[in-house]
Amino acid sequence: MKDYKSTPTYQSEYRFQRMIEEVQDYAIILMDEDGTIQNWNKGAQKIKGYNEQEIIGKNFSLFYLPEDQKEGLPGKLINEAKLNGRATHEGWRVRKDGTTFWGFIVITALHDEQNNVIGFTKVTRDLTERKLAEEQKERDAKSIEMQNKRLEEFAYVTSHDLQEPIRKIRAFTDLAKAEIDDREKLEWYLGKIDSSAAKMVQLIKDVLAFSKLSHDHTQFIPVDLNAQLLNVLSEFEVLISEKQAVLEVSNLPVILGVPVQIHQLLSNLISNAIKFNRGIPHIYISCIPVFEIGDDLQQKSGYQINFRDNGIGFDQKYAQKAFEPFERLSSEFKGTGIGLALCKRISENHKGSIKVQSEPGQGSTFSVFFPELITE
Amino acid sequence: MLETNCLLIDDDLDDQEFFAIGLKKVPMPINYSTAKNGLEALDLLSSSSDKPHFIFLDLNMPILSGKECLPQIRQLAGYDKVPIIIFSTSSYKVDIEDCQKLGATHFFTKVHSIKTLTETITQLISGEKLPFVLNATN
Repeated sequence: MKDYKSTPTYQSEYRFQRMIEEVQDYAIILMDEDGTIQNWNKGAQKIKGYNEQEIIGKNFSLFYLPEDQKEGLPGKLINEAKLNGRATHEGWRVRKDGTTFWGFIVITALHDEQNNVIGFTKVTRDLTERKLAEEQKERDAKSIEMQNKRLEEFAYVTSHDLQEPIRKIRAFTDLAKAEIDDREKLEWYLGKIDSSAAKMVQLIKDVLAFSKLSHDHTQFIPVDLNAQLLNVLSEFEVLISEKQAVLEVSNLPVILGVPVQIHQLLSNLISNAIKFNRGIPHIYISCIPVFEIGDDLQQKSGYQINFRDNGIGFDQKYAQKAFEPFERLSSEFKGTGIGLALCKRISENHKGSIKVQSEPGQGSTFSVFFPELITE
Repeated sequence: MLETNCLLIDDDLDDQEFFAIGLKKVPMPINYSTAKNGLEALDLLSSSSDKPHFIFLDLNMPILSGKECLPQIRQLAGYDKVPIIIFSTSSYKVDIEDCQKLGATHFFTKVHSIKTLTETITQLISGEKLPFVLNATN
């Protein structure tokens, strides 16, 4: 008599069972009508992390996030499968180790001859990578959209501000032509033409410096702020002695940065502190270690460098505006309106931030935050 | 002949001067005053008894921009109908539309020709019927 195990029926069933057991890319499980797990395959172990002994006899709701369990999602899916024959769902599921994966599941109802539901099969596929890629793509698209918008705004103000000196040059040329024989007036107009051209050159330089920042992937290296500051101060020697400016500087830290950008940042802040002052500028530069709570609620430790001056100051309600490109808070002291926008961009490039406290007539304190230098 | 009061609100000293030169060539008596920003203008308008007949308003100014200033002038008592002419470097459609909505009477893109400036102001003062945008093709 032939052994049952060698019959074609057994062979076929055996192979079918092995097939399901061996599939690695899909978790294929059998559940009873309440969702209690009855068998387990390699794919299920790989995707969900449990082995067979641990999971058989448990309810499949275990794979769902606590909030989904609270909402009764597993039960809803089972009912849907009971009613319609099948239910599909995509969402975050929980592995044995508590980590989550993005699962695509199909629950299919199994029926007996009398069409009673006797259980369910559940096929789960791990689509985490695809989900993350989709999310990344969405973020990229949003970021491009935002950058385009910023670029558009930037082009708008840039072209507007660059037109001004050109219009002036043409206007003064027009005036000069009309009074070509009046040497005194002519010289005055020429002087105006020259200073408008100089303003134009400064604007172009500033715009270039500003736009370079956004796609600058220069390496970050340890930068000694003391050395950078000395460097900047030596450039302002003439201006400092002209205005008899007094500077007090405490010891500054070493941060991770792009030296050229740090130089620009310090240079802009120092030049503002000297420029926006009707008397003798006093500038105090100090550093305090701080913990800052970022927008993502992550606590970052680092340094806050304060630049306090006794300059003209401004109303605190313009504090935000001060850092926008082409915003000027004063017409008495001429600037291109890019300096502080540049400082903001540089701080952000360094994963830091910049803010200001100010009061008219009482001076301003600019605070730049740099994250702590972490050496690997 | 009665003097026409013109107020220019502009922070740019060159433009203030340029405007003055243009005004001098207008063949009518004009009383010219300036304010260097929106706040100063609002102070001036709410205190002065010499109400301007024409207000020329720059857009790009620190502290209080032209667009912020415009509706505030319109709200001052007696200023709901005074001609306010936007006088700006801008010739952008969005700026023009915004200003029209905010209650500007005309939009005048700053020019480099004194002659054009003088002619346009003369037309305005003589009460000629002019389009909203005074120099559409610049």
